Amino acid sequence: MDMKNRVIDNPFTLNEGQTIALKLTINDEQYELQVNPTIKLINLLRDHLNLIGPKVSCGIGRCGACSVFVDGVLVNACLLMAYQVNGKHITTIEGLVGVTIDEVQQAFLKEGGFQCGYCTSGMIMTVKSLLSTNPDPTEADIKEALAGNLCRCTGYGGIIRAIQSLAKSKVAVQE
Amino acid sequence: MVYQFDGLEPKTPFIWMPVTVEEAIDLKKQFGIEAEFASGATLLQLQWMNGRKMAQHLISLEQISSLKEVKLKNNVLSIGALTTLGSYQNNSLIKENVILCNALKTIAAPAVRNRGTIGGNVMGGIGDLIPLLLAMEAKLYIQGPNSSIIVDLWDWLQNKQITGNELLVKIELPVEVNEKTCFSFYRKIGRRETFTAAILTVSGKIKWDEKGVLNIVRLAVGGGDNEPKRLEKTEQLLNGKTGEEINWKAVYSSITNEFNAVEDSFISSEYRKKIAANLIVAELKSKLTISSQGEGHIYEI
Repeated sequence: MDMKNRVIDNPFTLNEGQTIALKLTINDEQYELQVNPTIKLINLLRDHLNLIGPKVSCGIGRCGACSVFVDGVLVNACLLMAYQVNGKHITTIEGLVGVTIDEVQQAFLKEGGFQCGYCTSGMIMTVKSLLSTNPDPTEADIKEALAGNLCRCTGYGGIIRAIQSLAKSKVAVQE
Repeated sequence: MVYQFDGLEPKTPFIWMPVTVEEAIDLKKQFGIEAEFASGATLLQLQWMNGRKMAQHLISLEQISSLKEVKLKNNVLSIGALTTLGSYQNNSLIKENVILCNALKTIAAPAVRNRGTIGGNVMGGIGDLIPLLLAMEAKLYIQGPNSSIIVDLWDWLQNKQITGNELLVKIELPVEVNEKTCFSFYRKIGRRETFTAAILTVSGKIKWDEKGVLNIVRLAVGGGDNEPKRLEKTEQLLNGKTGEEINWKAVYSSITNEFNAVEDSFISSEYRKKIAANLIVAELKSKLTISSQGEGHIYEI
């Protein structure tokens, strides 16, 4: 068995066009894709699967507009290549919505946590990640969590207020 | 469902997914300069976007579980090269190392830290973590095709005696047992309060004996585009002295002389030197004046 065949076994298939057979789950739906292994996850989602909730902005992991979950962990979809998400579970902003919108989305609506809305999907994914590990964050915790999410409308006041409001209501319910 | 996409880019690399260090090194040896290692690849992707040529063969290290191990043995914290920058959130051994945690929290943003690795930060050559690791007397465990070596990080940075087929396996950090006679600091300065590229980072570690005489001094600068560097001449000015005996003006001047700070359109080299000297002197004084005099003391420089 030569090296190339070892790659075929583990776990990718390389054909003459140098694509890989990618298997992944996105928002609980399974996909099998034949793709360039270095295509960005954000391009895969938006350009090929029409999941346009995650946004393209800086493209270098600075602004957080493309934030998604990979196996429940917050990542920048602009800094992940296709081969890096093989076998993974991806959750985009579209995957948060069930019968009703997510509680974080509701809090943003209630508190005016957005203006133009371009950063909002990334903000909401980041806030989901924060509250999953820290249900009662301080303002410092919130600012630290949002350090990689930029709002060019500078609507941070409403965003922070939305997070505090939601956290407060959840803590009150628990008590 | 099965999708077939058109429009393939012409220079798509081959992706290799070895599951052992040995396999990874064999692949690198086989393909030589046509191959490069990739872990989180957060830095690599930025470099590609800035014009660096993508290798024909990408050797992903992500399937090598041994590179993700963190262990503590004989007061040495061993950090696998693929340990993520965000590991301070869930790894108990990393959590216990307060200064390392504080440094990791300043690097990139949470989402990037979930992908970027400590090994990548070091092997990139200019990572923000390097000054801290220099100050902490870190050693690198590097494995090659035929042998492995443990090398002091500072020695490695100065010589980089590798052929390109070696792989950083882990980073070893001594853990201080007696924290009452030891002080460490790490500061990163950026252009705004939250996540941003560094203007510079500084770090240091000092230890003293029962008389307050400094017997270990390690100072380092780097971060951003600055080449990481130990400030060895400045260390000599401090070593063997108590806080009262230190000539702070000389220390300040030595730092500005030793630090080869970069310059760009926004920030001059002189400004970076001044920040580095201010930070290091302030940190050292904050400890040495308290330790040796029992109260804070303001020096004019």
